Parts: sequence; C-alpha cells; structure tokens
Amino acid sequence: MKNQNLSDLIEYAYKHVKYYHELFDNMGIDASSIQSAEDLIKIPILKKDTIQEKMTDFISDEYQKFPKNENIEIKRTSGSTGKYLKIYWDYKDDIKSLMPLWTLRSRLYGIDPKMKWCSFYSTRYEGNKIKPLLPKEINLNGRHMGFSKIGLTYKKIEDSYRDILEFNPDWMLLQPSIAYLMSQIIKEQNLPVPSNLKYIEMSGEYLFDNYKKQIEETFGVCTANQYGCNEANEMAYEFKCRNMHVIENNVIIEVLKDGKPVINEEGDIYVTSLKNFAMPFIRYQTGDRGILINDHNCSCKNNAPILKVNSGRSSDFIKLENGEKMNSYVLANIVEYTNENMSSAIKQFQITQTDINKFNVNLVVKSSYSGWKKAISECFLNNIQEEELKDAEWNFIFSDEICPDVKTGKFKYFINELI
Amino acid sequence: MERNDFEVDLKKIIRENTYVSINDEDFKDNTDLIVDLGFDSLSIVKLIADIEKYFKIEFEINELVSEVIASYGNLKKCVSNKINKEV
Repeated sequence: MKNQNLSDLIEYAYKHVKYYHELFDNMGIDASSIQSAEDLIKIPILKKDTIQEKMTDFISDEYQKFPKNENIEIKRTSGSTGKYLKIYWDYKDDIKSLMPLWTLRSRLYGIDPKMKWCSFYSTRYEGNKIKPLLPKEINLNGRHMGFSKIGLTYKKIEDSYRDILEFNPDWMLLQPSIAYLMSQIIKEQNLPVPSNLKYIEMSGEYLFDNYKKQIEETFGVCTANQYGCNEANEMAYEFKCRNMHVIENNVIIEVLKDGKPVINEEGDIYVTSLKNFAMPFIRYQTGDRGILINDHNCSCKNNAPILKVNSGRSSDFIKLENGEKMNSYVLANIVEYTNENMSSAIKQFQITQTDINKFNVNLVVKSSYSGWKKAISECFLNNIQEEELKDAEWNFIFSDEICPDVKTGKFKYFINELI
Repeated sequence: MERNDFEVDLKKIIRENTYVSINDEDFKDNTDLIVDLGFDSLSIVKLIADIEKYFKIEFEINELVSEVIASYGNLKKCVSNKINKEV
C-alpha cells in the first residue's frame, strides 16, 4: 500500500540531501519507486558512523542557507550508545512529529496540554547554540518545571522530589531510573505523592518490568512507556493494552536480522523518520534490539504494529567516595561539552569506573583529530563540573573503535566495574 | 446541520484556537494547520477537543495519529464524514 508520507520524504531526500542523491544515483535507485515500506529494502541501511564522518552531506541544502536555516533547532543523541551526533530539525516538523504523542496522551490518559508537568533534561539548545544548564527552571508560564539530570545523586533526586511536591504537577515525564529512585525515596521516607498527579510517562531508557510495577504501586497512577530517539522523535507509545504501538505517521520501523526484515523475531531496530526533512534518517540503525509484531488482535483496537524493545539504553550509576551514587548522564554531558569546544572531534566514547575515583576514558576520535589527543583530554577534564569528580584519576585511551560486549552483544557508554 | 453552517462553525473553532489572524481565503484544502495557521502540538489538542465537543463527534485513535488533522482539507473532510455531510 502506498505511503504518501514516505514517497514525499524520499523524493525530498533525493532532491535536497547530498548523501541520498549520490547514493541513489550510484546504486541506480529510482526515488519515485520507493512508494511503500516494502520498497525500503532497495535502500542500504544507515549507521551513525557514516553520518559522523560526513555530517553536512546529511543536511538538506535548503537548511544550509537562508531562510530555512533560521528554522533549525538542534538536538543530540542521548549518548546511550556512546556515539555522539548532532541532529537538525526544522522546528515546525518537530512540532508536527510531536502532535501524535500529545493527542494520544490526551485521549488515553486524559492529559491536557495546559496541565502542569515536570521532567528532567540534559543538554539543550536554543536554535543552534548550546544553553547553559540550570539545576532547575520553570517554563511555559509556570506550567512546566524542569530539572537537570546531570550530576544527579540520590540526595539531589530527593531535593528535586521535594520541589515537585510543592509544584504539584498533574503528570511527569521521567527516565525509568529516575522514576524508580524517586519511588525508593518515597517508600523509605514515607513521603506523600503529589495530590494532583495522574500520570507518569517514561522514556529514554529500557523500562524493566519490576521498575514499572514499583513506580505504579508507589505513585498510584497510570504509567506509559514511550520509545523514541532525537533523530525521529516518538516512535512507539504504550496504550492501555500495555503494548507499545508504532506511531505510523511519524516513522516506519523495521527489525532486521542479518540484514533482512523479520517479523515476530528479535533483531536490530531501524527507523525511517517521515517527519524530519532538515536531516532525513532513512533505514537508520537505532542501536536497540526488539521484536515487531504486525498481525495482532490487540484489545486497544489500534492496528499499528506492536513493538517490543528488548534491550537498549540503560544507565548505570557512578559510585562516589562518600558512598553516594551519581547518574552516569554526567559523563555523556562532559563529552557533549567537549565536542562543542572541539568541533565534534569525539565520535564514540566508553567510560569505565575501575575504582572509586578512577576512570578509564576510551575515546574514538575523527581521523582528522588524531593529533589532538592531548587537547581533547584536557578539554574533557576542564568540562568536569561536578565537585565529586574533579579530583578523580582519568586515564585516556584512544582507540579505532569500541565494540559491544562480546558476551551480550550490547554496548554501554558507561560501565561500573565496582558493581 | 447545513453544509455552510458546518464549515462556518469549523473555521470559527479553528480561529478561536490560534493567535494567527486568518482570513477566509487562507482556508484552502492544503492549508497546513501547523505551518500556515500557527498551531503547535498543544493548541492542536485543544482544537480537537473543541471540535469534538461542538459537533458531538469523536475522532478515532487511528485518525488522531494520521494526517487527518494535519491539513484543513483533511480535517474538514473527516469532520464532515462524521456528521454525515457531503463536502
């Protein structure tokens, strides 16, 4: 069945994006022949490495000049795979891609956009400039309270929760690890739950079943899991049936095993964004694994495919000298700022805590920056803001590549050998 | 509900939900609610709620995540089908 959104995106990518134009010409692919999801197999898969090497080739020529470049907003990968990437969106396409999620929140969980809500954020951009991080801020005429998730310790989450109690939101958007820690704090200290709270949405990390259970029991509200990435925004959302359904007007999702699409079998998740025209992602490897179920008779009556994400992003905690734990997002943030200073020199990173106050920093840098190792290391150290980490010993290792764990096949940007 | 009333009412509800000043000639079938009429994800949700309430209809989940509410033409067609009017 013809997918007009897909046709439009492919035609646009061929016309305006150098990488796709050259790819299609070199491979003899007729852009107009890509009419449906089944036709996508004609196009090679895309990995982050390819984009990292030739970033500007992936940005639409329209968005590299006035007036469209005024519409650009920048996001970045969460760093969960250790592979850093800046992502460009037209802010209007970004809004369009968020629309389905808001309508689903409203219809399924009664969330009105004018309600008060809280969330945790990492680095943010204003247009194409990185914003200074504040530990807490209030936005949207007092409707939103945001907290920085950088440098989060158990104590800081506890302090944030007390602010949340006072703010009394109607709903929260949280990473599972933060929601889980909050539920631990509530139980241990016998704290109340915000009286207006009616819903928690979780995103950004793998959601363990036991986490979800404890979060729902502790807070006494509905929760929904949401799967997405900054490259494509929201890809799948949990309906009341407890299944995550693909958001079909935003993305086409494929699960590939040995390069071939599979259904009802685990494989690697690839996404084609139907909304990102500034920087189109077509058959892009997300780094996650899952199962796609097409033929189902879901009780929610939504015919869209069900996506089960089997693994993906998780965040371990850094163990501090005082016995506390700090969320490892702080490390992704240090790399982010280093890349801002060093023109995105770092392609991939993996940091291992080998002892209290001892870390190995394994970096893969762009070939053109191979002579800049000392400068990159110093820049990294200068970007450590957390007092608890400033006096630690940081050993820098520069590699050609960093491979997934040989036993599990998974990649984590932070490994804690103390746990 | 007469055809003319229906469109008049739909345009009125759309106007009430955006800060952009909209003339009648701006309501073309390919008018994009977000790009041309200044809607964002927040105001779109309110618009849907107001349309449902006024016309006593309900959008299906599949309609909410499809392109039906992306353009004025699609929205008009969907609403008219639901109130059993030919457009």
